[in-house]
Amino acid sequence: MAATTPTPEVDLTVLPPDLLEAVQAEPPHPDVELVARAKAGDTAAFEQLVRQYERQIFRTAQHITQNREDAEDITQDVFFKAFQKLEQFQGNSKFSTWLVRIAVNESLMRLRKRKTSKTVSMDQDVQTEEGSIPRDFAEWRPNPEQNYSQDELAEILRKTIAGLPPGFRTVFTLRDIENLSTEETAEALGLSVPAVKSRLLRARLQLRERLSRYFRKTKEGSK
Amino acid sequence: MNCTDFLAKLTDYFDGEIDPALLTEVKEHLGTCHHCEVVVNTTRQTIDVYRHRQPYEFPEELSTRLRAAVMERCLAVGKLPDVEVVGATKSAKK
Repeated sequence: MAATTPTPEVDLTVLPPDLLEAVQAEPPHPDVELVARAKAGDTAAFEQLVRQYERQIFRTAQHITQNREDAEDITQDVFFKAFQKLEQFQGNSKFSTWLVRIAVNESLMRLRKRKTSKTVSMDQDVQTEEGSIPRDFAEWRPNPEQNYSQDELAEILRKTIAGLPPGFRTVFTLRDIENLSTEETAEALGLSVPAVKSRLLRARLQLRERLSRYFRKTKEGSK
Repeated sequence: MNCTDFLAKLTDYFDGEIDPALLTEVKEHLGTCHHCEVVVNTTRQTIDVYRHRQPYEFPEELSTRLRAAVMERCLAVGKLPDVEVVGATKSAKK
């Protein structure tokens, strides 16, 4: 699904001089030129966009689907759809946000097809109160990374985020792992900003609670 | 400010989107509530560990393979305006 949120037209003549200067001085995002070149038929420009965002799209898909093969298929499908619908991209949002939105939709669709979870929309899985109220108040060891090997830590992180409902782990993935802004996350997911903030809080608290089982400091200071 | 009020502001606090008056209240609460202080510290560590330790690898081999497959499918359909791909296969390999 394309991000079609319209950007209101701004009458530059009514802006105060300092704001007008800031607006006019802001350089266009480098993707704007690449997208324009791709639309004009420059496949190398499109390939450059693929190169820039394939990692982000793959990781987003893998976080949502929790399946590597699905993430590979989705990554291909996202860029193929973007290529076919490039003319529809009007530049009202960042190109990367547009791609992420396609990736989220494709990933949720894949989950529905798999039917291994009843909770495959952004709305059906957020009624739980789990994690809304913190229960574990132990400090963690100074640094969890010092107590586990890289492989062990990666396995803990994978298992822990996999336990979150898809709606929560998607918000956490976009906002905290892929570093989208709250507004970009809202746009990519078709949610309001307050809804993103609410889900992000609960996702963070649930993850914190679950990770505390591994990382909490014991009296002996050992695992 | 009590713990419930504090939790409601936690996202804005982390994201630096809290007005100065409220920030003062939040800091006062943190100075007196050890439980909330732990929640802040460990939630921040939660975000950091996921941000810095990506649990999923994306090796160069996968990158190369995916990009080649994407471009082959795209070139096969040649949907971009004014693009005529000589010799492009009709069936997109997936």
